[in-house]
Amino acid sequence: MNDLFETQREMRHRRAAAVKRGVMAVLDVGSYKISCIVMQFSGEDAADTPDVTMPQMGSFRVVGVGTVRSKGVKFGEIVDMSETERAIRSAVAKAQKMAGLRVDHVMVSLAGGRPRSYGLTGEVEVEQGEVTERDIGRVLASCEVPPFGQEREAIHALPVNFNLDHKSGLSDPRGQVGAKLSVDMHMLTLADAPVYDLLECVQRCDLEVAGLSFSGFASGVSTLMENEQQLGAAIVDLGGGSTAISVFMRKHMIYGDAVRLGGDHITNDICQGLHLGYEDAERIKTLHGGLLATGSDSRVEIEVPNPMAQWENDRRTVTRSELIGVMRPRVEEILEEVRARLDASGFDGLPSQRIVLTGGTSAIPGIEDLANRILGGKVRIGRPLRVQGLPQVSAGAGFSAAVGLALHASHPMDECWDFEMPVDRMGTRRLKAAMRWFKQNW
Amino acid sequence: MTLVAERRDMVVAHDLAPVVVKPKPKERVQGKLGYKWDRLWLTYWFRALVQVWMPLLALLLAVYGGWQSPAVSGWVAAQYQAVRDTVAARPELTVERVDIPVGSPDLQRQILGIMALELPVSVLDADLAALRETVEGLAAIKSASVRFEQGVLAVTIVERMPAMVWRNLNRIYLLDEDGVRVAEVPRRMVRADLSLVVGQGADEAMLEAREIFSVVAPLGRRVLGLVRMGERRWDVVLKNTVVMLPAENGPDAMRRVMQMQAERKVLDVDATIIDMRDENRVILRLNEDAQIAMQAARARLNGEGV
Repeated sequence: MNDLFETQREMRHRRAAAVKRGVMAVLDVGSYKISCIVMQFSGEDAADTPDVTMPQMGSFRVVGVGTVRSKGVKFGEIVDMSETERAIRSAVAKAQKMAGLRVDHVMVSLAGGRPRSYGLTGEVEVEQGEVTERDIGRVLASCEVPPFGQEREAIHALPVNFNLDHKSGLSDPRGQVGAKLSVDMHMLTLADAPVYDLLECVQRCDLEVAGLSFSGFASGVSTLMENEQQLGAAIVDLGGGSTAISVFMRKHMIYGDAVRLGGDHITNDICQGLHLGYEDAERIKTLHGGLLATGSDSRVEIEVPNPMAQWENDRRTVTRSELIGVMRPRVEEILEEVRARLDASGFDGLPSQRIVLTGGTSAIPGIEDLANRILGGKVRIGRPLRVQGLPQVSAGAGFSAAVGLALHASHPMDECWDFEMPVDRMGTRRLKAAMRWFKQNW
Repeated sequence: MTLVAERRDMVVAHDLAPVVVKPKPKERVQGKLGYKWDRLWLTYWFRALVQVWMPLLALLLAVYGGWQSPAVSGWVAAQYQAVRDTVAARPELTVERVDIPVGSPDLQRQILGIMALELPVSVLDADLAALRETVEGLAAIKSASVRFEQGVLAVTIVERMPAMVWRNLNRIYLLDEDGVRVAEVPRRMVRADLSLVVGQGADEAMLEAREIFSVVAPLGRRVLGLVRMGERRWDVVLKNTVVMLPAENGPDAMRRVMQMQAERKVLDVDATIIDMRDENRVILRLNEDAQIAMQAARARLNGEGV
């Protein structure tokens, strides 16, 4: 637990330092595109700014956006370091150029890395009748971390729920009277190799990493309404190479997972099914793609570019229903996979079962109906929250992870890690604590 | 036939022109060095250095270097002189004549002589401020203004008006009301209308002199003049009598004398000197006749008393 505690605190401090500097960037490294958003923190409180609908929206302003086609990323994981580094560099350069500011700190999100969720519980006796910050530190430290393996890294760990004796559902038990304090904590781990590759790439661009988060979590922050976050909702971020899933409850992520399927697979299917180049397939998918065939679709002919064409009559056409016939099975497969993950997460037990689709692939017409059928009711397409200064082209569903990271940076909800680690848990650090006590008091 | 019929009710999503696949322009990827340079360029201090401080420094160095090198500075001076000469040669800037609207012909001649202008001259070469100073240097002129307008140099002067005649060390001057010598005259009677002051330092106490003259004005022609004594006090010389005034408050003392004259005709007494220098008492120095009369009166008084 000590390492987790320390790394979480360190990340929080680094992010706080970056926010204090005033300029910070977020970088969403996806399989299809890499987008970088430069934010400037105004320092004024969100409550003072008019035209603000969410508390975290007013305190920063987007001054630069750069989006480039991603290279060398598959399934949300880096397969070619130098290609990815170059892509990150051009995204950052674009955003910097638009902002006219130099960026030193970035928060990064990624969708790959085979996320795995763990529920942790800890329990302590309250020391002096009333729950103090020290007790919270102790109970957080008392959580037993499951052996998640050497090659994994915990990147999110947040207390979701505190229980005090028989009271449950507390978000901040400080000051309350009770004897036994317990905590339910959610921890998300990722395979460490993709994480380290990504951090290395970012560092090679002369940028300092101020935080790392799972893109499903970031998408949830930006896309879910406040009541959805409170009552329980699943966010399905349909990306290019992988689909991130996370479940929110009481404004905290309680489950995160990813399906290693995405829009790229649909494009690949079109490539194979219609014998097209990748770029052409991508273009036809975005222009004419769909999921629900109607009678008229079999009469809509789509002209397919034919690079070998030499004569006028060398033209090839496919009907839209053919295209739908290629795309639909793959989307169904993705959604069924998502359904399986959500079933495994215990999503059925939540009071509200809203499912929000976002990400670039959620723009396929008809995916809402298909998802309704497969995931069962209450599905909507989510777009990220309106953020000051964000251009319209970057406000679509494909940017929900990036916007979510920005919102998370400006309004993080992990203050719990500010609590002091209790001394008796520190082990070898006890001497250091004594030294610090001397420094503070003499 | 059936094939054609089928095709007719088909909708073609695109217009009939074949889709031309253009090879995508290769995305220009920034090199690592370019990226680093961009980041450096966006750094505030570096940008300020390059955009503000370095040009400023270069400008300063260029100016300093030009100033130091005789060739450059000589060239700059020559250019400046050439431009100035062209401007000065313009007919609009030539002084054709000098106009002096007020003043006696004598004074006008004097002013023209002292200005020493060789007409025609460019107004740029004639230093108007210096000319004005020169004209104001004349004793008879209180203030002057020199203006150039449409080829005419207008010299407007305010003359000093003689207010008094001053006799000092066997010379006779005219003074204006501030005590400045306006002119020298051969005889006092040239300006019989002006009052006379005499003595060293009289010109420096003109304010007092004027006040005393205004006080004694009711006496009319009995007043002969004022004499400055030892450069500190005034004697008022009347016919038959001299009033000695104190160094301080001379005019007030004279007012008292005038009051005494109104009440007791003190100036009609046969006194050679009325000494007002001591403010506590007035001393009369009687002339010989009066003294004898006084003694006689006293003797008569004593005799009667005995």
